[in-house]
Order: sequence, then C-alpha cells, then structure tokens
Amino acid sequence: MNQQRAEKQLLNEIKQELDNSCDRLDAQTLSRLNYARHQALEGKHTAFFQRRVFTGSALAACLMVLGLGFYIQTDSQAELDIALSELEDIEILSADENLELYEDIEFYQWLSMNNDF
Amino acid sequence: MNIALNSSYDSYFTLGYDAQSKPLNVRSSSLDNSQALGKFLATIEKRAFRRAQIATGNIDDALDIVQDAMLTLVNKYANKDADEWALLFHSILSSRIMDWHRRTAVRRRFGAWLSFANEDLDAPQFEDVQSHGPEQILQINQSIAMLEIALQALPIKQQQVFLLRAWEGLSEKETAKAMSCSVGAVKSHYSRARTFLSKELEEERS
Repeated sequence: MNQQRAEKQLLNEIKQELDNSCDRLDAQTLSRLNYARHQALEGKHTAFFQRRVFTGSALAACLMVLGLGFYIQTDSQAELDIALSELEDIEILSADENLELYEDIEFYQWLSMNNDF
Repeated sequence: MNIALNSSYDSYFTLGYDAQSKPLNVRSSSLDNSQALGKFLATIEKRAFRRAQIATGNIDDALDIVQDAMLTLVNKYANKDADEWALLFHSILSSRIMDWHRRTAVRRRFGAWLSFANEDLDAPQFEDVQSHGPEQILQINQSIAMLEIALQALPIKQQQVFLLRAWEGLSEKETAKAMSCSVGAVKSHYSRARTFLSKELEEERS
C-alpha cells in the first residue's frame, strides 16, 4: 500500500515537473514554436526536414548515376555493337529502296570509285 | 469562384480542402474550423515540443517534428471532429518521433562513411544528453534536468508510452492507438518505464 502511494506520489511529481518545464521554455523557443505553428497552418514546412529529404534524394540520384555508369562500363561494348547492327538491319529492311540495291552495294561502290558510272 | 479574405486564417482554406469547389457557407465553416484548429495547436504545442525534445535531445529536431505533426493534422484531419484532434495529433507525433529515431539509428550506423551526407550528425542527439556535465545541470532546474536525463535513458517506446500515459493522461487503449501497438505492449512498456524511473529518481534523491 505504501509502495503504491509512493509510486503515485512520484508520478504526480514527474507530471508536475514536466508541466513546470513547459512553463520555463525560453522566449526564443516559444517564438520558434509559434512560428512553426503558423507555418503549419499555412501549409508550409521549412527547416531541417526538407533539407534532409533533399540531401537523401541527391545522394540516391548520385548513387543511381554511379551505378548506371558502372553497369554501362562493365557491360561489354560488343553487346552495344550487336544492338546497333541489329538496328541497322531493321532500318534496311524497313526502307523503301529495293533490296537488290543493298545486295549489289559493293558493286555500286566500286563503280563510283572508278568514275565509270 | 475565388474570394480573397484578409483574415490571418485565409490560407487555411488551401490546406486539405478543395476551396475552389466548395460553396461559400461550407468555406466559412471551414474558417471557423481552422480557427479552432489554430487554438487547439496553440494549447498543445508546448507539451508536444517537450515530448519531442525529450525523445530527440535536440531543439531543432524537436521543432521540426512538432511542425511536421501539426502540418499533417492540418492537411489531413482538419475536417475531423475537434474531439478527435488530440488523439490524432498524439498518434502523428508518436509516429514522427519513431521515424526520427529510426532515421537517426540508420544515420549513426552508416554515419562513419556517409557523414558528408548530413552535417547534423554533429548536433547533440538523444543519447548525448545523458552525459550532461554537472555545471550544465546546475544551470537549469536540477530536478527537471534529472528527470529529463532519466527519461532519455529509457528505450524510446517505453519513454513515449510513459509520457502519453503519465503526462498526457491517455488510457491504455488510446496509448496503444497513438503508438500503433497492442494494449499488452503498452502495459509492459509503462510498467518497465515506471520501475526504471522510480529506481533512478529515488537514487538521485538519496
């Protein structure tokens, strides 16, 4: 019973001290709290949180760029060449020109070099 | 229809409401609601700040957390009944404090090689407060300082559950809702916190 009473008294004291600590907040903190409330009510948010979000986003973006660069660098150049040649093939197949032109392209190149056209 | 109002609460219209599409009478009731919300926030801001400050040990972080909680309440729950605001605000604040705690833990873990990413690492954090020097303790009210140090020595969940139950006067059920945990967990956290604090504070007094 005594223990319960002592505990209750302690809790009351803790509560009282916490209330006192609110009353003793300095003017600068109170002013900043007031400003924070008005900012919140106006839908604005400033200070550290946004900066952290920005810092985190910037860091994530840098890591992504680095990762992409590393991936492109390590991925063989050959694969890139294959992709480009495939693109060329598609371009040829979809072109309006006669396929025979492409089949005889070396002959036409020889003709133009010899000015015998 | 866009009506210009000169009241200091004008801009509240834009928060969480679709001001453009609401009829005027609805908007004027929103203005009353916003004024009530402003008054409500003014009454709870000091205690909210102290809760956040005890959790973070840092004035700037505490202000930031409180502002963020206020902003969330204004944006998302302004249209709720005023009776619900207190519990909603406690829930949001608890959530923000726990988020801060998790972020800080991660930053500390990777702080050594990511220190360039956040210069705030040098700011005093919640554990640092435990190492208050005797001169600093004498400067402020000693009993408050001792209580604060004891509270900051508690694990974050025990600390917040204790503050909600003992200081804010929330029931076990309300605390469980605010902390997003079970009533059983609240009982356990509160009991441990009480035992720890009574032991610590008794030792300080003797």
